[in-house]
Amino acid sequence: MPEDEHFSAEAMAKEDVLRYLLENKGRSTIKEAIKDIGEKDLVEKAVAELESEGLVRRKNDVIELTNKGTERAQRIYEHHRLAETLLEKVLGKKISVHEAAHALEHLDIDIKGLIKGLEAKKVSLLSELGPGSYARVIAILVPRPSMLARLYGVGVLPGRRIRVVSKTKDLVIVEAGLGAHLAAIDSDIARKIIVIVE
Amino acid sequence: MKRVILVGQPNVGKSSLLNALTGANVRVANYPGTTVDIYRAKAVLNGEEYEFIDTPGVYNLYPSSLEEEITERIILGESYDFAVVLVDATAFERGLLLAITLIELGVPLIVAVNFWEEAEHKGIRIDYAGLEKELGVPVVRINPVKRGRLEEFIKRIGEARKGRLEIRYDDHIEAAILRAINCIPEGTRLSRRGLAVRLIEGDPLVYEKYHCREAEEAIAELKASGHNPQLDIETTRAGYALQIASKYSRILVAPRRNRLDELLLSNPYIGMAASASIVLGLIAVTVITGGKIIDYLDLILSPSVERVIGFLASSGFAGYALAKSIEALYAQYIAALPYVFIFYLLLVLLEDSGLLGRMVAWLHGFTKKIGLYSKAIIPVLLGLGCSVPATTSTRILPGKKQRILAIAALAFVPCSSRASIIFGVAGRELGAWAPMLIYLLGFIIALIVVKVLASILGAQEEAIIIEDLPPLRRPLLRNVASKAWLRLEDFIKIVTPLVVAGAIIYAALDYTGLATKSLKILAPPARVLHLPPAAMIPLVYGFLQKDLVIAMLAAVLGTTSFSTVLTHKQILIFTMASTYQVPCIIALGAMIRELGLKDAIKLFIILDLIGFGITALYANLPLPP
Repeated sequence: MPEDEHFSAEAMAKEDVLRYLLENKGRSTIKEAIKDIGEKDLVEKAVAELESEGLVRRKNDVIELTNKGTERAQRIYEHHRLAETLLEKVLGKKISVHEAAHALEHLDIDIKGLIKGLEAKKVSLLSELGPGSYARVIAILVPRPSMLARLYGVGVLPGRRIRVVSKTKDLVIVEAGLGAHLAAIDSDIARKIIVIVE
Repeated sequence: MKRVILVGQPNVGKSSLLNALTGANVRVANYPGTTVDIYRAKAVLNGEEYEFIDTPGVYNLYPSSLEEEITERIILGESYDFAVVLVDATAFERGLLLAITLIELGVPLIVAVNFWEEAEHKGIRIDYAGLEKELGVPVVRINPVKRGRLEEFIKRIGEARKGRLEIRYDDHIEAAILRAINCIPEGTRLSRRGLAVRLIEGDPLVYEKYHCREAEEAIAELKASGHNPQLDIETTRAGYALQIASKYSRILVAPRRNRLDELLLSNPYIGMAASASIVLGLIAVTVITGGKIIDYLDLILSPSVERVIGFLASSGFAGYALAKSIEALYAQYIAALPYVFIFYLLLVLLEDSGLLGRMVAWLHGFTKKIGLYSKAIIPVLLGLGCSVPATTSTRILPGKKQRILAIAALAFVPCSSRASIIFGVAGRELGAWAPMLIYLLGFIIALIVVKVLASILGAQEEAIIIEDLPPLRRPLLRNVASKAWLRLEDFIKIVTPLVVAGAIIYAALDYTGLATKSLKILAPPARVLHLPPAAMIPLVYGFLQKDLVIAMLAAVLGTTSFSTVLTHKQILIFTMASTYQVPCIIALGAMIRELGLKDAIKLFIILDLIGFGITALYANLPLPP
């Protein structure tokens, strides 16, 4: 089983169609969607799949969001916005908007809190924090499940409040949990942990 | 008889509980097909016989090392009645995550909360009754070190049962679980749903058992639609642990912190200096104390042993082989065992006090540069005592590549047997500078070899650490001694047959005169090293029994005053050639057990060629003799 995260073009096209429809009051023609998104085959395939999943309704060339589709599209829209802001403010150009959006979508994070944090410019990477800083973990973008399992095992998980005890070039030591337990995290991993500074 | 597995995070007190419940009646055995130690012990509790199996500590059920893999294999495949999941009250949600993972798998269990007094001292309050109700399994407090509340634990041990907590995932994951569940046959001991969750999570060990195509397809489809089932499942489960922990625990005061600890951790230079002091202190205590014990034992035992050996040696080949075996065992046990035991004691002391974890953090910046996981400091430290347990201890490292790197370093880290050659030949004849030079050069060679090998193998990725730093605690000497003793037993079990085998082979070569006859074959390498051909005999046959090298050298040279027949440069060459190599057949045996025959032999040839090459290079430098 490959451990690396996989983001398919098909999945992204589906999300793009949903987002596009939401931006156009829930209704558009396939032709217009293709014009906006590009990749005719991908869009047509995405529409067919979304229809079979009950997320869009199709009548000839016109497509519109179902209630379920609107709900999903709103979620995706928030994630895309969040990802774009994150990329702009925190992550630089290391990963694409789509990748970040997908990564974030599947994390159980407090989106509203995150957006609020972004607005207050309080979102950061764990690796950026100095000793003594308090923060709450909101997302972990580690691609390998074994590393994720280990992070959770040492108490660093989304929602957990942490304190940075020390930081060197190669290592961040954090205090996590009630008992002030310490965990040593490689800087390469700390660069993939998104936090809201408190 | 009921079989019970003890499961928990590292340093949570599993061994202490095992000792408290069963006394000194602990047996150590390797997990089948591996070299991972599993401790077992029996006890009669409430009139019923129990066998307790202590598993290696795990952070979570997604193995990052061979040890962690074995724990999961035991949980998934071994036959047992229930599990005792130990939870550290000061790191409550971490242990809870493990307990929840086992509950989801349908493992009948009892949760034993350790360090609860320390947690209370820190102002942490846990609602044990509420937690018990939520999880649906007994939750009891224990203090195995002081034997506190053990009666309650023993009284309730029979109540271990499957929990009733069910984790619900997002719809897409639930749909995939429903598909995967078809692969799990009815009547499976563990929960079919729990195993199906692990299939969707991509757990390699569950896949190995069920080869579920439906799960593979479900995962592929989820990924194609942009989901990451592994991440979803892990995060949801951890979210449950966090939520339950928040619901049933609270903190009354701000956590008390160890300022000195934090200061030491925050400065890499202080950390490096502290690590260096610990290592030097460890070596000094081992060498001084071990040396005194060895001298004392030797004084008492050697006259009788020599008499027995002398008598047996003149009684035909069988007697000769027996004499050589006794001589080798005596050398091994008297020369190496005290060092190894003291080393084990100090190492367990470092482990139990939490200092070892800090050394791993301190050294990370340095070891990462050469591509080595900083936990490799443990086998390296052990290697200063004996390469055999050091080789087996590499199983704590993540991945085979890291294990290869650590084992490679051991070829240039002198064990106590090689130390006796360094001090007994180079040190005695040339002065203190010579051992220091050999140790320093060995250290530099080890660094270069590890760095080059790490680049060739692409091992740098495995040098990334995520480690728990257990709180600094005062270790209990009884526990330390008991752990060290168990490790020593394991060492004796591994080493004894190999020592005897090596001694018999050498006895046969020596008795038949083949050792001397092989001088012709040994002449070319002797020329390269600028050594008299006779000096090659201890170099080559020392591989069978390292502790006899000095005695062999004295025998072939006809004197114990080596500088009368060898130049200073030759003495240094001989010592270097004896030091920079896989030291003996026993260490090679351990390498084969750990890496497999093919990889072990390849590595053995590479390392010995490097050692020989460096010695030959020095031998051929135009330096004064």
